[in-house]
Amino acid sequence: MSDTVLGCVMPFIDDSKDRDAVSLVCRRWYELDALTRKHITIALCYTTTPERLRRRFRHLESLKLKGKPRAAMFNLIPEDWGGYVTPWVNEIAENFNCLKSLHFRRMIVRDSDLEVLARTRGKNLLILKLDKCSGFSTDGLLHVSRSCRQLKTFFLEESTIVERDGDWLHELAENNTVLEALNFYLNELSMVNVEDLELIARNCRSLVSVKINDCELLDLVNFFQTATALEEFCGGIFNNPPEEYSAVSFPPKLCRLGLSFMGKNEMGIVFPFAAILKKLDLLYAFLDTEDHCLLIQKCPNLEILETRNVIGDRGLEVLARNCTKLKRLRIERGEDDQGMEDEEGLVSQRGLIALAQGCLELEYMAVYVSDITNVSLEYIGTHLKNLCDFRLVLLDREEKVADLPLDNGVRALLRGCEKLRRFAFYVRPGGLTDVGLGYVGQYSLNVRWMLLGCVGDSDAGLLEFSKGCPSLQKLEMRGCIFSDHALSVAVNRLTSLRYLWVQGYRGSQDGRGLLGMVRPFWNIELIPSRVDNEMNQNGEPIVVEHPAHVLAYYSLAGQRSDFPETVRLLDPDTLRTPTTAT
Amino acid sequence: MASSSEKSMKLTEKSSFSQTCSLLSQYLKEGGSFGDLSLGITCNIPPNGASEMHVPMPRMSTPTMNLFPTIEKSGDAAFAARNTGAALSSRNLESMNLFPQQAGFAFKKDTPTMVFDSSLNKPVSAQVEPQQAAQMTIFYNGQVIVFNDFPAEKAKEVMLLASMGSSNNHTTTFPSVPAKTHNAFASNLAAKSPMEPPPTGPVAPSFAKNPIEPNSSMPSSSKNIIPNFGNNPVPEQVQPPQRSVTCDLPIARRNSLHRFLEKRKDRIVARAPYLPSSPSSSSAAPNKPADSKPWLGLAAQSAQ
Repeated sequence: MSDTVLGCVMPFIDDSKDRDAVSLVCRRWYELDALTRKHITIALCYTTTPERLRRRFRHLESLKLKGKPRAAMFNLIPEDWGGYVTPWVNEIAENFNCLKSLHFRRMIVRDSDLEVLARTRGKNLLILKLDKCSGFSTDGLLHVSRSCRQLKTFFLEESTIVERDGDWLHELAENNTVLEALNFYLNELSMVNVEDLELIARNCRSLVSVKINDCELLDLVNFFQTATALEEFCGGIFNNPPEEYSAVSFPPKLCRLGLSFMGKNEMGIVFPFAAILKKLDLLYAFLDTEDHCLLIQKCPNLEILETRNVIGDRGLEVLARNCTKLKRLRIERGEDDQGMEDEEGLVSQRGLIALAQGCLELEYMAVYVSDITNVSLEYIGTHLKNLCDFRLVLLDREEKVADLPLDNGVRALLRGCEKLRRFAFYVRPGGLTDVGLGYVGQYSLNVRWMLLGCVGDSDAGLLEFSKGCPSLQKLEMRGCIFSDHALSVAVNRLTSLRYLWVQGYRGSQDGRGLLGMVRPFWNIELIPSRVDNEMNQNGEPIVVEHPAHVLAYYSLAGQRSDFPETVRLLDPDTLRTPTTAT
Repeated sequence: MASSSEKSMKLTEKSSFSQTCSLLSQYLKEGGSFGDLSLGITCNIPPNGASEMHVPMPRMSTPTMNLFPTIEKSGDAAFAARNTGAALSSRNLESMNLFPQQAGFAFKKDTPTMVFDSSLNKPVSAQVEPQQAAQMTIFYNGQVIVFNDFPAEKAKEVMLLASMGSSNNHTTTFPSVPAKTHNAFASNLAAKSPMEPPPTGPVAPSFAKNPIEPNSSMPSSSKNIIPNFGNNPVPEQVQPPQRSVTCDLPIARRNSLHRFLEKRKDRIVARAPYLPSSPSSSSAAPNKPADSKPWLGLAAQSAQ
């Protein structure tokens, strides 16, 4: 194939897996791919170096970089664990002249990083996402909103931002006319001025998505009137008597909605356009089971629903009857403090069976259940043929579970849902035996990411599991009973594995049992168990024990040096000699 | 490894807790005793397996720590027998039914007081007949507390107190009691349990050297809470645990939801007092106080 032909074909190859394959054909193809690759995702920033990235993909247009392990989203990883963007930002500033899109996730970003970025790449940057990041302030944002005037997406969702003032939003409103998506949802920013939002709505006629903090909805009436192109809105708060909210009217195209703190009495404002809603985010709403039923009944075109288990089995039955186009469903765990729970706020096999029969288009399903049976999992395997991401957590509050272990149900689900790429199964001791774990290995042919919690009853289960899973790249486990020795054997057997995170395993304190997984380019880090003095929900001091974590991953960068005291790198040489640590 | 009776596993893989247990058991076998240790409080009485009691103590607080660190089948039959009640293998979980968890209670700060109350240290004669008094082992908050010569009726009181605080039955999670019960329990223990002088034995010197003060916040691993024995050679064969401590890791909650639920709680609390007087109009469902569930505040009111 001549370079000319290849040059014509190459731009149409987008999938990164295809690209990887192309680059392996010969040196020429490798070079052509390197020259034309537009986007790279680096799933862990310590697996390579900025220099390496630049050497190979100098013309990159889009980069997504992830830092801390997923567990950080559950407050399980020390804040200063690592994942600093600085070396990347410096490389980007100097060399990545084509970069238009930058997405940092769970990383530590400094104001100085934002300043450098804004100064060097600001003119070209179209997308900047600081996704669950920390370490910066509104001063850093100000640099961005002053310099990045072409910015179409500015995303700060769930980042921890030190708030000094609201100037950054004002500058953005003054300088930008092309903004399409603005997101500071789930931040604690309170100095934002609603007039700046209105100005943005006036200046940026392509504004389609706005997700904001807890801002009184009545103050947004003008904003909603101005933002005529708006399709998505999340955030807000209801601080006034319910009847006043009848004054709020939403933009005509609005079809993706999440009104924080919306209760039964305010819910009526959604009804007029509920029929065109495609996405509903009720995670932060104040609705009970009955409210869910009422609202969902009016949303026949729903494709995405996110809510808490307060939806209940009854809500899921309504969903299954009314929302046959549903593609994504996330049911998070709601309140379970004594006295604060939602009545009927439990999801069980009943709801799952209804969903499996009603929502045949489901591609993504993540659900916290209070009860479960094998049959319900079999239903999912039988009916949900498009499922590519399934996550189930069995909550630990209910003492009795209808039908454990779930070995056969899991087998049926995995056999039935052949498209499954991601699979999470978090149960309790006795919830999945060694036999079931063996099934997981055997039948998850295409699964690339897996989270297992409290599964198996001995090392034998893990060893059987590790004979399968040919595609598994990223494995996370929590609260399992496996020994560090068995973990090592499993790592060596899982041929595609490039990332392992485990919290709670059975092992020697010094990690000597992990020596079995030592090999070239395989970094092993430990967060030893520790005891913390923390505050509980009532502000009382409590003592909390955090079991040890292991993080292991392939890296071309060698071991990192920017780790805090809470992290220990596993050094085989020290471990082989009988010593000491801690 | 699945079988708890396997004896083949070597100590190299023992958890620190298993080592602690074996230290303890060895010490007890050798007839040692220690009165005010961080790990336990023990009197010098030969173990009497038949009459021993196990009181898995209720655990309070947020779902963050393992209450019952793994108990392993140690080579020491007496000690193993003592521990089966709290062993974490699933088949043994039933034994914890007595003192189930009550989610949402949190009063951890009381813990150290209970265990290390200075009044526990007063020397008491250990001459008690085995029929009337036996050894009691308490698993609580990551600690093992062993009382020798614990009178049977006191043990009943203790168990009653412990059970008073619990209303729900949860086998798989760990028990807890409300703070008041717990305090009462603690003072009861403090006032009535017979105690031994501090240890002189060679096995647990690190304990003796680390007296914990009441209410100390236990920052160091040399204090209680599953001390780190990872590197200490242990002469006894101990089998790896059936269930790791960590099987009982609480299910974590997403940060964003955690924050939301906190706000929700605050809002409900803040709003609740105003609800009855709220001049809500007769339009949309009026904002009447949700009778049976005042905490629902904004959201409540049962259908239509």
